Amino acid sequence: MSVQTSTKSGAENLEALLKEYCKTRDIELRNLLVQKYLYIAEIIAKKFANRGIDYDDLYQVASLALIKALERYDINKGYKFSSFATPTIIGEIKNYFRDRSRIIRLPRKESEMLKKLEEARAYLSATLGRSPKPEELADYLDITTEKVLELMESNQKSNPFSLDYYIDEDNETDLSAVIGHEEKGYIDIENKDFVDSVMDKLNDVEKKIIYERFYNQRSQKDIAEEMGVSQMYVSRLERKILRKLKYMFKNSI
Amino acid sequence: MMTMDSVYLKVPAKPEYMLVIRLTTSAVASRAGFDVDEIEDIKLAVSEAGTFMMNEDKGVEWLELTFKVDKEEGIWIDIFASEAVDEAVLFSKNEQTELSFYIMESLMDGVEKAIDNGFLRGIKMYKKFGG
Repeated sequence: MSVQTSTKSGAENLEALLKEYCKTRDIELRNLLVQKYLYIAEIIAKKFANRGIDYDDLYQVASLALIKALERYDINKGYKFSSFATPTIIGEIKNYFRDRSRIIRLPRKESEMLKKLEEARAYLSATLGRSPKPEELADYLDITTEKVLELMESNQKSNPFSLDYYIDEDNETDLSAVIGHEEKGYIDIENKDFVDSVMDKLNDVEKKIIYERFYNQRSQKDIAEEMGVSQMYVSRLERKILRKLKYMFKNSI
Repeated sequence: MMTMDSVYLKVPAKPEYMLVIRLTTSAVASRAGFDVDEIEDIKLAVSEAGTFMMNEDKGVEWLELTFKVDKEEGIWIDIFASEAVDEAVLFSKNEQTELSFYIMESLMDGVEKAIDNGFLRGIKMYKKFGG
């Protein structure tokens, strides 16, 4: 009996706090109320657990929704806070499910095929007694092997890892620590390779012009004077060589 | 006007039969034409109602569920218990009781308590398509 009265007065106390908060919108008071009502977030988050999203994440979403609900709640409207907060929290959780289920949305056809692929994979694994090859999957589903591989890839892409995801057992290294970045050096090497190979195909005059123009950054006029020709000639030749290089570059890739 | 398809289920009021209730619910809801998200919602609301009716009175022996499906309108589900619970006792109890109903109401389009002379006999709920 004593327990009941104490919870009863506790509830009345909460009501008073809520009233106070609706008047002042004091952040400290809000934080206190959030703590008092956190159990609602917990109960609701638990109902949605085991649907493919970690309980901790759901609890997080529910707690945020609880704060939102508190901030929007107006005691003068006449309904109880829990009746106001519950739909808000459930709404947020559902939104989270919707967004989270596929961070990257696949085309409808693709996601349907993915399901079929999963079924086929399970079925063939069972009948073959081993993991099926892409060709076997393709044969079974009556699609091309490429399509199978694409689907497998798109499955990967629609579930990206978090950068904070720990990749080791000691929870020390996260993904962002080891993730690669584009290595520009390779492109430089490829470009150099290309330039080297095409330079061989140019005659000495052409080589000289390219070399002086682009390695030594000299002006056309300067080069023309040194070679004893007109600047127009250098300009025309340069354009011709560049066109040639462009053509060779296109054909090389 | 299409006629409604009805499915009846009567199970012992034991926690292990919640799975039967949930599976039946999802099977019926899927036949009705709801999508997976909606089916999850309906399942959650029904199991909430089921657990609620089961836990409030230890004397409950069985739960009886009625599913009515109208393929153009939606689904109606009644969850009744073998024993009725005194409504006054029920709602003075704690906030969890209320919360249970708020949860059901948020997930379905309508939730109603079937009250008979101040006793709660069961919970009726429905969900319409595109709701």
